Amino acid sequence: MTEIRETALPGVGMCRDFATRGGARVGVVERTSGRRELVVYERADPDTVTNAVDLAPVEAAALADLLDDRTVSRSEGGIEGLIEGLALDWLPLPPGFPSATIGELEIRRRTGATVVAVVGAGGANPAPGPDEPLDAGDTVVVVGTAEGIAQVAELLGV
Amino acid sequence: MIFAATGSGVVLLELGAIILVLGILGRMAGRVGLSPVPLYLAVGLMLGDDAPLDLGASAEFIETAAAIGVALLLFLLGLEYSADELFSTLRAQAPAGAFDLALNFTPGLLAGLLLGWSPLEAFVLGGVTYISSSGIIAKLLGDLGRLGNRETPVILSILVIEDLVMAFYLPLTAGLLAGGSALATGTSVVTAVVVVVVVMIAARWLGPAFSRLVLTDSSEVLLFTVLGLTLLIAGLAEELQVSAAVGAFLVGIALSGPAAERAEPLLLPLRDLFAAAFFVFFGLQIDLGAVPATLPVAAALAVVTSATKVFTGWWAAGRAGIGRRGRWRAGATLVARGEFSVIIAGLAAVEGVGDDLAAVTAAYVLILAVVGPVAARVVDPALARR
Repeated sequence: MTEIRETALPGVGMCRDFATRGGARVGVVERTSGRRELVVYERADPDTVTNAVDLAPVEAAALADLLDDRTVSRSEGGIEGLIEGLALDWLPLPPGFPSATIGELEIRRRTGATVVAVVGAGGANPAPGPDEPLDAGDTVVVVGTAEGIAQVAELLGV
Repeated sequence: MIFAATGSGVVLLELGAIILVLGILGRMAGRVGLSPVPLYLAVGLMLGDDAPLDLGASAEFIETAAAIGVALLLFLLGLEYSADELFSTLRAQAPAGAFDLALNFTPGLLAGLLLGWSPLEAFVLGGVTYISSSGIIAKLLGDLGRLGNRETPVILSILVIEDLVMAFYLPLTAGLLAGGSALATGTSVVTAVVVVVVVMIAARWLGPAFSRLVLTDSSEVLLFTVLGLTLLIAGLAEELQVSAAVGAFLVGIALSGPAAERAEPLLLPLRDLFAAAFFVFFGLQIDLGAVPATLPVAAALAVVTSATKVFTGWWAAGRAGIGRRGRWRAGATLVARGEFSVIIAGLAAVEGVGDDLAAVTAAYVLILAVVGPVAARVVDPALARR
């Protein structure tokens, strides 16, 4: 696990950074206004940022999309035309997952995201209802905000 | 004046011309990466009583706007901090804060006494030289892409503590300036300190509830609520001799969460406008003819207090385990003085204390608001080349 260093910037926000295996140090400054800055540190002097890129919220989301291979990018796999701010993800349920139905887990109420398909041993169900059981080994296809999907992943222990 | 009458047309003409000039100057300052504050001061200087251009109808409006400007400057500053953040920074960086106070307050105080000023004027000049400009420095750190730098938390912590010290220094000064018997002054100073402490502690517990109460969906309603509250508390604080600035600062501290996030963009443009009026107004009060004579004093003070600030930053960053380049950057970045020095001197100017004080402060801020950002910019490339 990468160790992330957190530094509070009073009145500005928070800086989080980590060292890569290659010895480079990169980080993100999160401003209280929601703007983010991608920072890259100098190798010779780890106190010094050599490059800082100011990112508006949409740009930060775009960068996160590019970096996170779990989130399906809008241009990939023919899913073009999705509305901005909407994300889609496949979440494989871990082996120890305790069986439960979508309704019991209250996924939509708790995260705002919707399960649009369940791919299990018995084939794919493209329109699961609240009674659809989820078992270990199934793959759940979720649509929602990036944040909502992250919450689903957490809820399901993925 | 070309226009004899003081009708509303003249007021609009004058205000329009001033604001447009500020806009043009701000644009020029932005192009070379400087703070516009010294330029606003200079505009005020040019418009003063004995200055080349006499201001007629709009002077009264500018005076009122200036008072609102101070309140909004401090309110938005307070808004950036939460009470928790203030307390935890104070705990972690108290030694650096004390070092900063001792090293940078003393030169101003001594200079005032050496000039034969009253102890009170010297005390005010100490405040002027003590406080770095959090406005200029925060902007500078962002512009130079140094927010992620390792020395930046040290710089910001020192600024936070300075702002916190101001919460006590301003009411103390206001109490002393109001004068009266030793007992009356003592009482008002103690009242002020007690009020500040009580409000800060209360803000920690009641702030979230207060913020929820203020929050509404409508931007217009939120703007009016927050602006009204700020001015109301600022006025109340002024009447209690706690100083309007501190009242507004405390409202900013108490407001947090979504209410603070929504209020900030609504009030920023107002702050910019009224704060500019404040800087112009401060310049207006100064006799332009008195400024050249104060230049040697201001320049000497600028040299000494630049050195003490550099040393403060260098020492504080070293204490936090920062390397050589970072230590010098921390020092050079802290050199800039600006809005706060003017607010402190403005407090005295409004009470009619110390004409020289206002002129020295104006010249001092004109120098360091320009030199500070330049120093912060050049120090790192200079070190990296070596």
